[in-house]
Amino acid sequence: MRLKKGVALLYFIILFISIFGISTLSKYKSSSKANQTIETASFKIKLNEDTKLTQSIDLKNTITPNNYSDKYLMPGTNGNISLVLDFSEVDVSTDYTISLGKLDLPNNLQLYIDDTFTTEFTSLNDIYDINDSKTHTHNIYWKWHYKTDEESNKDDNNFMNKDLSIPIIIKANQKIGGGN
Amino acid sequence: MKIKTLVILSIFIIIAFISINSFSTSTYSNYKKEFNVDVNTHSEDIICNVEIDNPNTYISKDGWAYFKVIVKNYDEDNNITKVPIKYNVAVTNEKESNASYRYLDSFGNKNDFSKELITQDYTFKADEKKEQTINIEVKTNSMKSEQVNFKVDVNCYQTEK
Repeated sequence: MRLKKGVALLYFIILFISIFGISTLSKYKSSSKANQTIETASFKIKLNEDTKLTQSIDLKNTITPNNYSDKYLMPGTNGNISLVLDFSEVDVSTDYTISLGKLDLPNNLQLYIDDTFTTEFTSLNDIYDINDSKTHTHNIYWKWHYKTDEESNKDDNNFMNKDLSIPIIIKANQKIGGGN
Repeated sequence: MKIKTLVILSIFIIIAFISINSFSTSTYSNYKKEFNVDVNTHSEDIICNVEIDNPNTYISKDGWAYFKVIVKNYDEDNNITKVPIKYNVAVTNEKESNASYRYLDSFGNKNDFSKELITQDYTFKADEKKEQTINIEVKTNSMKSEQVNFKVDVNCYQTEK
């Protein structure tokens, strides 16, 4: 009985040593060191020529020709918010999305993906491939429709002489499996 | 110890070893970046101020008493409207008055006397300080002087530039 226990214990010791290993040094040993440097990949995305993570755009500066005003925001005006992503200092393929934060806008002020103001903008997904063009430009078109029905008048008047904001969020992630 | 137990324990140790090695290797997060862009602005409002000039002494060349409606596209602080405006002036009788009204503007536009007067539409451009004076003549059927109560409405609304 004792012998059997002894054998079992010996077995476990051998098993443990062979699996987890205990570093042993032979009498003759050698080790080498080397100082190396490696350059990690760059991920400096620029938005509208700026690397700042928080940016501001005045909607008035995005107004495009219309029949009501070239300078001021009011019903009837429209425009184009241009988002230029520069990947020239990005060494990895990148997935990115452009989406909107919480909106508090006049009912008649809407956002579109096209300059004919047909298809509404909600969000956008795109990919930068390292073999791609380094600049991606995305436009969000907006239009404050000029409507003269009573409900529109009332709503537009509620937003007269007010601060308006359109929060836009751009998230970019390194693309897995996008290397060269 | 039974061989069966021995085998089971051995397998357990081997599995434990493999699991530890699978999860203990270094993991690397990928690059991430998030931009927050606040597109903001301030919407404009209409500035359309009205002044009634009625000293009760104005008499037109046709002999009718008249008052002046002066419409301005700027306010007391000289802020000029940034919104192009279209407007007209409406005059109606109040209480039990029964007068008729006729307007005459600086361009010579006028209408016939009527109990409810609405002028033609006028416009003001944005960013140009302007005012328009419209004379409103008042006529009653009685041949004597009487008090006339009336209401003036100036309807201003945004128009094309």
